[in-house]
Amino acid sequence: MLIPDYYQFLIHPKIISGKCSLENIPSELNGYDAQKPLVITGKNIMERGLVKKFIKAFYDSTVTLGGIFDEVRDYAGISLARDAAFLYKERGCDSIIALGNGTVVDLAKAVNVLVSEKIDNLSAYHEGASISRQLKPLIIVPACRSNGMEATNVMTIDNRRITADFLYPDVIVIDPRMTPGCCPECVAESGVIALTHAFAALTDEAHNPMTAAVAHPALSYLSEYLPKGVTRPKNKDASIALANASVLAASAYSNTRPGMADLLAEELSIITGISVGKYMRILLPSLIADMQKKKIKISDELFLSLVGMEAYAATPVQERPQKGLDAAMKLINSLKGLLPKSLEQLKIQKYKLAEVARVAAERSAERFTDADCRTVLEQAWEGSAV
Amino acid sequence: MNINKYPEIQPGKKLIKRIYVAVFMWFFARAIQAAAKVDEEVKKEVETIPANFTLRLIVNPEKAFPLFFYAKMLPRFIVDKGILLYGLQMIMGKDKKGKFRYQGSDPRGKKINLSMAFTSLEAAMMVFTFRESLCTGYAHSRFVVEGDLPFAQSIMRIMDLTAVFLLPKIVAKLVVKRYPKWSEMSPLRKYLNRVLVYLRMFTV
Amino acid sequence: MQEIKGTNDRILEIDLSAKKFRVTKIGKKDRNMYLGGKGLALKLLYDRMEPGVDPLGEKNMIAFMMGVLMGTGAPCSGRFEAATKSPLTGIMSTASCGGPFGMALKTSGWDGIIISGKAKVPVYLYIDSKGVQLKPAKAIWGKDTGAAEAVLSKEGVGALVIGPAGENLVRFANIRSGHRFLGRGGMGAVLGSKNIKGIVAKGGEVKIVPAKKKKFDRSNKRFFKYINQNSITSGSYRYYGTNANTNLSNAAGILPVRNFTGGSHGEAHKISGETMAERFKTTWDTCKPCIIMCGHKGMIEGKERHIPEYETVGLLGHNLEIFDPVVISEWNDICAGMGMDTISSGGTLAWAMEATEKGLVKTNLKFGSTDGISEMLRNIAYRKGIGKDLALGSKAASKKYGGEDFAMHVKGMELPAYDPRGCFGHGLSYATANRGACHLSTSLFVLEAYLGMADPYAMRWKHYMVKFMENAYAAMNSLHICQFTAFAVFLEPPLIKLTPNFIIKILNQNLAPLALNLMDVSLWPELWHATVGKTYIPFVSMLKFRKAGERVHVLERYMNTREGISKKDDTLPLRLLTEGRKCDSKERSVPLEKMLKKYYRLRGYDSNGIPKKRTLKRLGIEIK
Repeated sequence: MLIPDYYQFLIHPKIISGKCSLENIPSELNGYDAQKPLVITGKNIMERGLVKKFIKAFYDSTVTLGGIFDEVRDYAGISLARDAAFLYKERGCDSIIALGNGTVVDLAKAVNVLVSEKIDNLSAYHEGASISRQLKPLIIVPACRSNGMEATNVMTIDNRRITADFLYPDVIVIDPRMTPGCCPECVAESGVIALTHAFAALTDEAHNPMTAAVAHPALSYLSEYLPKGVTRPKNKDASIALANASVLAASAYSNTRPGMADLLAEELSIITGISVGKYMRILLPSLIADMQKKKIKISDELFLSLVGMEAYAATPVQERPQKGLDAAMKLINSLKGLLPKSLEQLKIQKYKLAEVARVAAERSAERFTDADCRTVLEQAWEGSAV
Repeated sequence: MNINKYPEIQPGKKLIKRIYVAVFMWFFARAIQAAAKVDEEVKKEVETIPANFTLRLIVNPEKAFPLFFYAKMLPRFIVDKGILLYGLQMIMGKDKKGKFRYQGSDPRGKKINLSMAFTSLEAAMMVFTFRESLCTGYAHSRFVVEGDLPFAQSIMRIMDLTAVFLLPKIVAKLVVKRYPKWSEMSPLRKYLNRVLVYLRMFTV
Repeated sequence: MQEIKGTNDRILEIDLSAKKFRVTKIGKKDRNMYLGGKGLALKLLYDRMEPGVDPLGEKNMIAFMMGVLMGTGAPCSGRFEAATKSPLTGIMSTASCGGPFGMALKTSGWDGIIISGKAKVPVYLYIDSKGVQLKPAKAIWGKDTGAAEAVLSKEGVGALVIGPAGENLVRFANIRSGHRFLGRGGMGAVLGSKNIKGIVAKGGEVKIVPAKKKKFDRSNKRFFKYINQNSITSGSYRYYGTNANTNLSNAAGILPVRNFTGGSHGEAHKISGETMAERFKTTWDTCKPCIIMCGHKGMIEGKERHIPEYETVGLLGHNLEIFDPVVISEWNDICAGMGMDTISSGGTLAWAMEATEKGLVKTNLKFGSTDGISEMLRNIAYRKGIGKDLALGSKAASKKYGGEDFAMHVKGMELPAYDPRGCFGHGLSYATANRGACHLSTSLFVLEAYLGMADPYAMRWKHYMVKFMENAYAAMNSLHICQFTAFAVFLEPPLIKLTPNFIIKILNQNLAPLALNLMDVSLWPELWHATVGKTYIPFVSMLKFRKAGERVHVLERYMNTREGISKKDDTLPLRLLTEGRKCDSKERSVPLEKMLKKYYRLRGYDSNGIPKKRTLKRLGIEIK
């Protein structure tokens, strides 16, 4: 195995996964000397009755919930963060629990910054200042639709990203009572996002032994449980496996640079308001097809993690990278008609693609060119690779 | 912003589970005490434990299960005997005579050498309803052990053996790491000791 | 002078890239199905345009379409419609205007024009009965709308011009004709992208007479009577303009304050129509021909200025917490000169103010402060500094800088000055209106908040009211006649006039289909039939007329769904859906989801808001 010339790796959150893991939260909070967390959650999670189950996990503990702020919807913005921060201060809370995924976690991170730094807006960080202090304890309890950024050091607030190592959550609690998906689409989207992130982590030039080690189980889980989870979204084993895959993929992803599919999907999502997962489902096959065409060299770890040791050993060394791409394509296409297959089907106006390609190329720090992005987008528009 | 929309939530109580765990602990402690008298193997294990050693089995967080306020109002001997159930704690120790005894559930004024703390009531329930064995529970961090660690192993073995005596095979199999074979523990010894343990539990 | 009976059905199609034009005839079927104006404009674009074209690209087309009533002397008929794919919203947008251009074009012998392609250099179009000429516009390029129009008006009776905002592709740039504007949806930017500074029509070449003069006159007489009887059309609007709404909205709690965080304000009376009429000694300055006469001008600070309309006052006034009529009319003039929509400008400024307050952007704007607004309006028009991003509208700006939750827009179009938390039905119509947040797709706030003819906070039957009104207004815009005549047509027939309001309210709330269908809107179809020379069959023709309205609305919806519009876009800004207001005794937010479901079912859309094939077939819309 090659030793990379140079690499860095950080994985912060403590992961607690399995039966009765919610009940560990009070003792985890005690470990941080916290007694009164503010719970941030989404309206849909409230409606699905998960919050009631969540509250029950705090019975017979000394932890008082400072309030359950359930206003989060599909958008995390500073106004909402300020409201939550106000509630936090009024109630004298000392820690934050985010129950949910995606925007809920983003908002929780933003609230954490606001209350820890004692500020009322994030303009300084938008302008490039860095978060340089330990924040309050943040516990994440994933539930349902993930955007793949929960376990990372990134928060997306008001469509703008802030990255800092202090933004890693402290504890992630994956409990089978919370993870089952609400619908097959939602499971498929979360799975595709995790797959795209793990794929990016493994195929990026900056990947290192540690990212591979973390992305490997994520991909193995996905290849085994994604088809199952999609057919039976309420299945507890599959949902736990997928939630773990999501967290692991995110941990690996936060230590590498975003891939082309990620960047394009994010830009498209901001412009159109359609979730990232749907775009990744379309873009990842196009990207893989493009990579196959260009015969880009990638590590054979992808193949190993997706198909297992036996098939890996039976394949000649030089074929492994290509077969890895094939396996990834096969896995993503196992979703069949669950998510839209082309940008045309999503009715994306074609003239917007040029702008998306330009911004994505800009954000990639010259790793890919405008033309590269556009090729992938054109292919995705037709959905020929799917 | 109207903060009254988001009320503060005080933790509730799971009364039935509490009573179950308290009763279970009381029984279990009495059973260990009895087994230490009755069974040779347990006796041997107990002998390895130094004198004045005190063990505490507790469900965390301690503050959530305060000593019942009326404990103070009752005569001292009832409290000392450990007949009264208060707090989710079980204290056992070797007294000066070398007897391994249940010392009630009041930790006040006692020097604890080894504390085994379940992280939550639910974790205790997992173990006490035999869904997870003590060993798996430890591996899953259902309880945290503090103090003289080497003795924790002895205590675990004592607990395992007691469980074998106390519970029918079908249940005990779930609790202990390895159920003793016939060659290791003859059925005669097992059933005889089971009767004796039960007798001693309720009489002495 | 040539006399045209009814309509002459001639359309001028101009291809700027090829520098060619051709004349097409409107088929009888299209005329009967789509009436004219808005309906016909949409239908013609539907036949000609592919989905997914760039609104500011060569392939986008813009249509200006006159109604059949234009030039016949029907009251308030001096209006015309424009339709294009909007650069602000990326979907179809229509706008109506009462400027002199309409009459000039119609009396040049054209029922409408469709412009496609792009000119290489800035030009203006000169249209007469023979056709069109492209003339270089170098001399007027860069001038404000007033100056440019003064130049162009010398060549014909009426002109359309864009200002610097349109030239710089400000997404909410408008088109000016006289003192009236094709306001919403960024039509100015579309002309700007085609390098057209203006269009001038010679006019006065033909004379229009209704085909059935007698019947026309009879209906016309009734129409005049109704308008002159109605307390709004002959009272408040006539004397105070649309700004008479300020006090009504304030009382009803639908007055947006501080970017829609409040619903009424103690100082709102300072900028109301009544106050302005008294303070500035206003006189009329209206579309022609008109008998409602809602447009006003007055002496403001020694200068004769147009009195701002309610929407302008709303979005540049109380929504920014500014209560000084003088500065508002000054900004109104800046917007007019630059050629920018005041609603979208105001909405975007309000977003910028709140975003500044929350640290998302850096500007010197502040709620309640007049500092920097004039400068910012100019910066937007010329796209300087942060104005470059604000010129894209609040939606695009909020995508870039954040603050989507308080960007008050629907489908990209900024909200007009009626807060739907005080009139739920109007909230539903904001969400479902085809061009984005549009107060003119139903104007239900009048029934709900002003006249008390429907319970503003009830949800029952609101979907039916919205559908009924949308159809009626779409038909009206296809005639094309001023929407304010609806007050007279809906409220003046004896049955409704003699019934007390509270009974109408009860009926509307419990038996809306019955109550609404009893409304006699026969005046409009009567006029249309008399003009084009078709026989009017009582009741049947009215039903057909209403179906035509439905057809126009559903066609526009269908065109939008081809551009990617679906249920996800039929929503309201998050603030309206989640936050309550302090001015209400009980905090309310709009319960949109429940009403929307029923609305879709009633409209014949699927659960994702896409018109079903069955619905399209029933309405005779060709599926592409």
